[in-house]
Amino acid sequence: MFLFRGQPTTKLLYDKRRFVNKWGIMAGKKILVVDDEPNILKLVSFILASKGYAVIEASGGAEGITKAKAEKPDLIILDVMMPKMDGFEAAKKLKSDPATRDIPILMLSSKAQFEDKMKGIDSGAMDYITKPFEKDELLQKIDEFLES
Amino acid sequence: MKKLTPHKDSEDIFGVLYETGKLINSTLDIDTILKNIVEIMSVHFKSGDFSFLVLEGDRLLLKAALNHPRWGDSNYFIPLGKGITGTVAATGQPLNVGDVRRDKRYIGIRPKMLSELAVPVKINGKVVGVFNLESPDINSFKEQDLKLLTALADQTAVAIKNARLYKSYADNVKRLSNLYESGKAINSSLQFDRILKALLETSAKELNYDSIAILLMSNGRLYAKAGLGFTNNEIASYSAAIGEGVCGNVAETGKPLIIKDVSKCNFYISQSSRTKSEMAIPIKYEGKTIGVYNVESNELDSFDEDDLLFISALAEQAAIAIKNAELFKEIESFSEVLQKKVGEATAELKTANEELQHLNKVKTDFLSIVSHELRTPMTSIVGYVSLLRDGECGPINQQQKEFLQIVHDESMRLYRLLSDLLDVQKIEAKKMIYIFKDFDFKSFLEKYSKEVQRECSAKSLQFNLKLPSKVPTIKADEDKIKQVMMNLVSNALKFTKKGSIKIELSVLPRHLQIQVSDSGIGVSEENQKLLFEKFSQVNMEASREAGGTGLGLAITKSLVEAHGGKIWMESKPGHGSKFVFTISKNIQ
Repeated sequence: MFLFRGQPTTKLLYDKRRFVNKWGIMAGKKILVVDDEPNILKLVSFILASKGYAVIEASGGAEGITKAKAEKPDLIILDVMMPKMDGFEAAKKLKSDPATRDIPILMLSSKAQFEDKMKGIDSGAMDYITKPFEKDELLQKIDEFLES
Repeated sequence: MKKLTPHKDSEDIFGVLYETGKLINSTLDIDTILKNIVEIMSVHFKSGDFSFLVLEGDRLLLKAALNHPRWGDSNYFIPLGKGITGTVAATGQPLNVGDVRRDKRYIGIRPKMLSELAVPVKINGKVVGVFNLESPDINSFKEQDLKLLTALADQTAVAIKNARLYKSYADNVKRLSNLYESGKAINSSLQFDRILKALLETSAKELNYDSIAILLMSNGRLYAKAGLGFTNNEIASYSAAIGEGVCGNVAETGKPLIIKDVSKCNFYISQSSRTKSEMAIPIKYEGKTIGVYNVESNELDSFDEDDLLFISALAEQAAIAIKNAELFKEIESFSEVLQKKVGEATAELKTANEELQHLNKVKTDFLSIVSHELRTPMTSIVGYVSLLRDGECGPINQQQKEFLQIVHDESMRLYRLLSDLLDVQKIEAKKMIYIFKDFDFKSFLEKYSKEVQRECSAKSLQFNLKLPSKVPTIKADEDKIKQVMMNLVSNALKFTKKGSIKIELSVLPRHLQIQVSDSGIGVSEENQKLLFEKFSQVNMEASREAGGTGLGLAITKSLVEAHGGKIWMESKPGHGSKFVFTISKNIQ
């Protein structure tokens, strides 16, 4: 993953991420970012915002669930290692609640072991990206989810 | 007794004895000796009745005879103590009965016989048989006949004894050497007891003994190891210092002793109040006295030179056997010590191994935690640097961009080193988990090659992909295969400045084979071997230059091997490298 650090087709994808709402205002899709590390939260938010997404931030599992219910995001980017409620538990809760069940989850974790990935998928995540990540890889994955 | 005794003067007696002696000493076979005696008798007591009876248990059996009516009857015997012959055997004293009708002891087996002469044949004071002459006349036998017969009996005794000794000696030598031969395979302590028992039993047959003891030297003292005529307790407490008593004396000088009368021996120490004579013989091994064979008798003068020679010869054989048994014992105890030591060492190793395993786990855990903990700051560094580098936070100049790229690359290298270490750790601890699933290598490569194509384009390299039309679906761990491919491709990219990179898949009978070749700098032959080793110098130098960790190929190798395959390389310096690996088509 570290190998492909070039600059692929982000420019092309840029326009696809935008759509026009019924009032004709350009609005990005809504993404909820859940991470207890402020620097990472800020980083992911910045990357997403700069590509036109509307970003909602949450700094813990419980807060993430609350915001997911309230904001109904198009995608949730969920950190795994968080105090109190970790990403696996948060994902299970989100997937068991009809209100949030259909929101795709992308896990972003510093746990890179195979077992962790499997656990992530088992708990309902669509995919799993390990930290440190390349922003292009993250954007590509998001793009795939939101397109489908 | 004219008919029976043609020679009357003493010269004749000597003549007969000389003849007899010559005949019976010329052989060591008892049957031949008896045959000879009968022959001599037939000459000197022409028409007389002569018989030789041997004492076996409490019966006198007819072994040789001249004109005897019961000769050849194997059921015939005279009970010990019965008749003239039986009395002679019981008392050990000769009898000359002038008129058997007046003797109450006479049991009258031979009605026509009137006088009888019987002399005992004694070996070591023990009656072994009786020489018997009978005559139909009264008072047939004179003093001279008694002398002649006694002398014949003595000579016969010597001859029989020699023959017996010889037979016994030959038997014993055979027996002991058999023991010695078989001993190698037999438990040594058992063997040891057997040797002593054999020595005791075989010698006892030939001796007039009251007690026999075999004493062996241990820490400068003699200890009885086996005996006859002793209780177990007596044997256990029987010991002598060197120089103490008869045995101690023999042990000291290494020379045998025959004490005809112990009351006249100034260094005799009493073991039994009944003992009157004693013989002690050193048991020697390679000239060194290792023990003493000691025999005591309740009678005076029980042992002679013959006994000494016989026991000495026996002792010599026994010494070899004893020494061998001791050596076996030593070897056995040595091997026990060895076993114990091996056991201890194994236990130590086990503890050490457990400690190591624990340490290994601590190391793995540590690496895992460190790797995980480092990911968070690394993510921030790499993430923010990428944003700056890509101008997402405002324009930057070319040099700023280049430097930020270096910060980014080096951070990623730091992280890779860590995750490679973690992989190596898992491989070594055999904790690498493989999930084998259906895997379509062709479509994997078709998808993956797009990424490689991008990389090649970025470096202005040509990229070729060669796939066969049909590739069977196999079982493989996709993540691991991707790791292998990425490692090989990243190496190719690292070391190739211009030219091309090629990936080729081919289907072999039992394997799929993948080649990743480049037109890069290549690897010298000697370095090729080191390439797949962890942290090898060639790896380290090259990888430092090109941003690697020195672990990639070692990890790749074990990932390939886990897929039932092999990895190797072909290269010429300056002419590029080709890495080839196979993976089994039949992993379950």
